[in-house]
Amino acid sequence: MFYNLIKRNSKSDRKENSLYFASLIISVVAFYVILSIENQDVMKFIKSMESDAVQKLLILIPIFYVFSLFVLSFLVFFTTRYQMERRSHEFGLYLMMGMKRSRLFFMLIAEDMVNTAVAFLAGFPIAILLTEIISLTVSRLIGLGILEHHFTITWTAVLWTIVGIVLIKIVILSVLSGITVNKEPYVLIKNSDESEKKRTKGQGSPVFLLGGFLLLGIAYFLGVRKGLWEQMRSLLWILLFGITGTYLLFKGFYFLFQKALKKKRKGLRTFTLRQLQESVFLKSGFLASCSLLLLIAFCCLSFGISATFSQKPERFTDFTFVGEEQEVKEKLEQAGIMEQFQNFYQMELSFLSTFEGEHTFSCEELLKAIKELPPSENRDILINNLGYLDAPYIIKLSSYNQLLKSAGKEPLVLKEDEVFLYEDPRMSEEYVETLQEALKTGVHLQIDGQDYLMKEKVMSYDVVTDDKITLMDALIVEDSVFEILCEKDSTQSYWNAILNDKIIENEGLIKGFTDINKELAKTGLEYESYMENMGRHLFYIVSESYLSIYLGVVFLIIANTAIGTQFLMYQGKTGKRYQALFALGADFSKASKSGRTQVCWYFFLPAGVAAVSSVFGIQSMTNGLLSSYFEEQQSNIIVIALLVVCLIAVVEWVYIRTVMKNSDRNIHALLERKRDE
Amino acid sequence: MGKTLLEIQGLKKSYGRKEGETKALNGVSFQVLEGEFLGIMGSSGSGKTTLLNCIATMIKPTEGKILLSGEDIGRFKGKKLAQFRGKEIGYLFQDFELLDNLTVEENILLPSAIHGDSRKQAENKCMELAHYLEMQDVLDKFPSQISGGQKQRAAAARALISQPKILLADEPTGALDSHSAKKLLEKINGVCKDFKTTVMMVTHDANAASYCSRILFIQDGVIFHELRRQLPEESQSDFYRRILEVTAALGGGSANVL
Repeated sequence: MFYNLIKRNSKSDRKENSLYFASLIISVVAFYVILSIENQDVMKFIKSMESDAVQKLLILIPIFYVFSLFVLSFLVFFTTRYQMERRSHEFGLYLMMGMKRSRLFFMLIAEDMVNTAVAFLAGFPIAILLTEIISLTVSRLIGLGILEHHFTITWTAVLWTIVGIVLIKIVILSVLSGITVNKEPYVLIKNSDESEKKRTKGQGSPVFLLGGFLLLGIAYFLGVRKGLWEQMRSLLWILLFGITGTYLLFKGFYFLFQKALKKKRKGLRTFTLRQLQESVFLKSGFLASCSLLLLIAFCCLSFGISATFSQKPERFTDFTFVGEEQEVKEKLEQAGIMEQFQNFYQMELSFLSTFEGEHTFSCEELLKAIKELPPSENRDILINNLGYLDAPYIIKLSSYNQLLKSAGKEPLVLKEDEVFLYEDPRMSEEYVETLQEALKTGVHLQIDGQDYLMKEKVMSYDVVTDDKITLMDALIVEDSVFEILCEKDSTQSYWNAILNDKIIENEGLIKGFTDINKELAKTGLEYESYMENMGRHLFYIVSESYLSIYLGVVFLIIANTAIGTQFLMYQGKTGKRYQALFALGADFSKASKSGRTQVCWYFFLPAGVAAVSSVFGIQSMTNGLLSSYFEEQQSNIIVIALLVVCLIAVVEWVYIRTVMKNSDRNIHALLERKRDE
Repeated sequence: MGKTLLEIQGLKKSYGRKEGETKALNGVSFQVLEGEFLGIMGSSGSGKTTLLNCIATMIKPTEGKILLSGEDIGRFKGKKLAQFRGKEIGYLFQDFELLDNLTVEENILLPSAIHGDSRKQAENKCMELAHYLEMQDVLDKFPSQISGGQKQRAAAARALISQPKILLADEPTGALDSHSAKKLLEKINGVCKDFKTTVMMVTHDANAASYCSRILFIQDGVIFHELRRQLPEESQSDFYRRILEVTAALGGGSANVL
């Protein structure tokens, strides 16, 4: 009998508070997905190349896990308290009927454990399926072979998810149930609302409102400034201003409602506004906290999703081999790899040594032209960098043209007395533009006393596939000039190869590469491949987007569920008011409309404030937190981030609709109860 | 006296089914005339509140008809029903049922707002009622800031704002001290005379009932007795004595002492 009661009660809890139950399932899914990240195909792949970095990332996961458990406990505490209050009357009756306090305590814990178990049963299959889908999709997108995919269940992830959630539930439940069952039955049955006393304290609100706007304004202003993340102090100021501003703003909303109440009153408008005013004022701190949670969620999601869309590194050289021509070619042919390349050429570079007077070099004219440009940060960097340029690398024109051909670009044309300037591709667009501005004036440089005209355009296609050699500045010279200037001793032989398109089409990018890498490992050649480049890119994507999306999802559901539950709790407590409305002749549609309007505003206020703040937050995050790798794609990321905000609006809408339906159900129940009495 | 405003014909209401059936009303018929102050008395569980709730359309009778100005209110549905609840009747609850997050003025104006009446007119009427019920100075206060008597007068003003044909009052003095109760009853009596509003009041308090012009006694779901105050010659205290006699007769007296 007792166990039947537990079963029935937990079932009705799930039904009554479906919002919370759904959030619990989503939490299970999110926890599993993040904890099983190590076993994702893409992670295994990156680990094979960037194992140190991946290890560091994996050390971070437990920290994220504990942090999100902490935030989840906020939701669990909140909804459990709601459940307890809602059923207070029932508990009072159990005690009056002679149930022992310890038995009631045990019953409450058991009921919740049944629900938690159901959440696990529902959550894990979804989680495992989702991880498989993510793993397969990511593999497919980046071209990992699907054939190598194995279905895996990460038991440690299952275990930690269960341990974490059960632990916080037991702790919170014990505390709350303990408090509840120790109340006197009369207090439980009456379940009195203590909101009365606080009502008239909202007098100073215009000050709160102004203070809120002011502090938030300062936080926004500080947030969009450049160089913010380098200064810990201004970061702390922003947090202080932003958080205090949000709290004050929510306290100040009382004043806005007061103003709105002075206008025309039609239908249930006055009632709706008063309900909102009271609910927002009584829970202003809570709503401000939710708004801040939503802000973190918005920022993390926008940042995470847009980072996923960042472009892959451009691919125009697949492999770079180092070695003598004969040795490289021979080994490649022996291994049967040469035929898999559609292009294979030497990238001829030479160091123009000036230290012992072998050559003379001067770029005074270029420095002078740069100095004449209007002052800017880039100009200063250029003056500094080029000031050290006294022994540049030279690149053979025909080699570089092969590279351009692979990238699908037009070849360069040079006369004997002309050079192109080559700059490190990692330099920013503005940097290169400033340089080109200076070159427009027709600048000459001198090598061995001879003048060379510097062409206006600056070339920035990397000469090797990854980082075998990093050239800061170099000169592309005509072949015959190269032959004269090059020192046979300092000429390094780099051999660039491009994989046949058909192989990539048939096997996918990564599979194609890994197959050849296996063969190449046997040859003992010194080489690097585009894969290392790609691996680094994937690592950034995974570490930046995976974790931010995870945090974003967890915070989004927690904040929304908390807002929804709080609203329904308030509505339940003020049920008598709705009954009075019905007695005065209001019909269901009018009361439902009022309830729905309240739901909309109750969500809109925290979400709206969070949305405005997130515009600044996202900008600040992309400014400061993006790895330098993505920096050049910043504008692109902001556009995607704004699209993501629209997507989040859809999620909010789903939550609002769900709470509206619940509100309608509550109001309908109140109407029915009024009739029955 | 004027013409018939409300006519109750063979009203029955039962709860539960078959063996467990309880008959709260078992064939009640009577008429209420315009401008009358009618009291309904009876012991606890006699069916008086059920009767009032049937008239207020808060519950549906099992059998019988309720005619207000000749119209069967049992047939009202949707908009017409809401209109009836908000405009034709005013309801005064024992525990006031004021919305505690609205000011007194907002509470009073609520019915007219629900029914989309002219705001200006409603505000004028509100001021008139506040003046009549002596509560102008509490209009801006919240219910938690005023006394029980003021709360009930606010509730009365709310019930009267849309100028209903009949004011239904369910133990309106039940939660008030004797001084506040006396003041409220005087006001209700005044409303009946000055505003020509018909009042129907359920009570088990003989003192409250002595303000009425006619009293119906209900027992076990049927009308058991009727008392009519002989106006103008019968004084209120004489009428009170007569009421006590009937309540005493209604089961040896002890059944009516609550």
